Amino acid sequence: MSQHDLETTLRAVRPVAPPELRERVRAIAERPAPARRLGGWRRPLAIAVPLAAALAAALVAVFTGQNGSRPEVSPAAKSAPHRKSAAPGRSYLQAPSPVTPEQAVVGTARALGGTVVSRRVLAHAVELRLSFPQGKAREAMTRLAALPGTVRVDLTPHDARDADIVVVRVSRP
Amino acid sequence: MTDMSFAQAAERHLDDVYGYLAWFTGDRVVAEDLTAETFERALRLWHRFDEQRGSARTWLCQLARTIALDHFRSERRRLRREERAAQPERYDEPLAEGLSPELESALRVLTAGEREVIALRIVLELDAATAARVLGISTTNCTTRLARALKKLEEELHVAA
Repeated sequence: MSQHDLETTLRAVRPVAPPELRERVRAIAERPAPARRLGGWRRPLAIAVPLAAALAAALVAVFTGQNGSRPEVSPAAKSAPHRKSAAPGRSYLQAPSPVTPEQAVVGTARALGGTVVSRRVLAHAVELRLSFPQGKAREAMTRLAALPGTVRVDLTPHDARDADIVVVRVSRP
Repeated sequence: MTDMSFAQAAERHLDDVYGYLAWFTGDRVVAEDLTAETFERALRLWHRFDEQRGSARTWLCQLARTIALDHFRSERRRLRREERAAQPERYDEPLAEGLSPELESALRVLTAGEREVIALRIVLELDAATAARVLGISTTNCTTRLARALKKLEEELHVAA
């Protein structure tokens, strides 16, 4: 028997469902379709969507709380940049507070070996009397004058054998 | 979705599903049960059937195949459990009416997979792409499988003659 004959023979003997099976399937087909259940891709979606919504709400609450009702930063905290907040339940890093002109002057003076002799608060400025080792006063005056917020820089006569006094006025914040 | 009702689809494709399962399982009684099971499941899943993605016949054959494979798996487990795996399969009824005894015995030599591809491509006359889709294999693979099955069948008939 050739393959062609074989195929023809096989096609001719196509099985036909017996009458009992036909009745059985008809009975199945007459049943009402069962109620659709959440399945396939809908089931994970039904879980994921409320979960994502809850997560988003939690994130919004956290960020709103940080920006809207952030506690006042104490002066002590202001002088300690990058210090961790001591507020209970909060562990974020505080941003460094901006350096005032006065702090910049004091920092620069200390870097040059100077010290603050006195501090006087005026109407719109702060006057600082700074003592520098001999030979450092001129350099200090140049650098202090270049600082933003410096209003005036003066060199006073010697009041000690080995130190110069520089008077600096800076604008008040 | 489709304009065809489930009852219409069941009426129209019952012989196809039964024929496919009879060839695949090699047992007409089992095929009857699996056919009924296929239509039970098809009724539950009818809302998922999309005519644009394939015909109802293809969809029903895919369901029938899944059910038949589940049947084979559970049957293997049962045979192992009962330690009857070594016993040869016995078929009391012919695969289909009108087959010669030689062809019937030659078909019994084929594996379920080989009978399955003959059922889809020759008995149900599905094209290669559709049959491949039902089988979950490539079209080339389907064609090769059919050629091998027919060659084996031819050889068995030649030996019998």
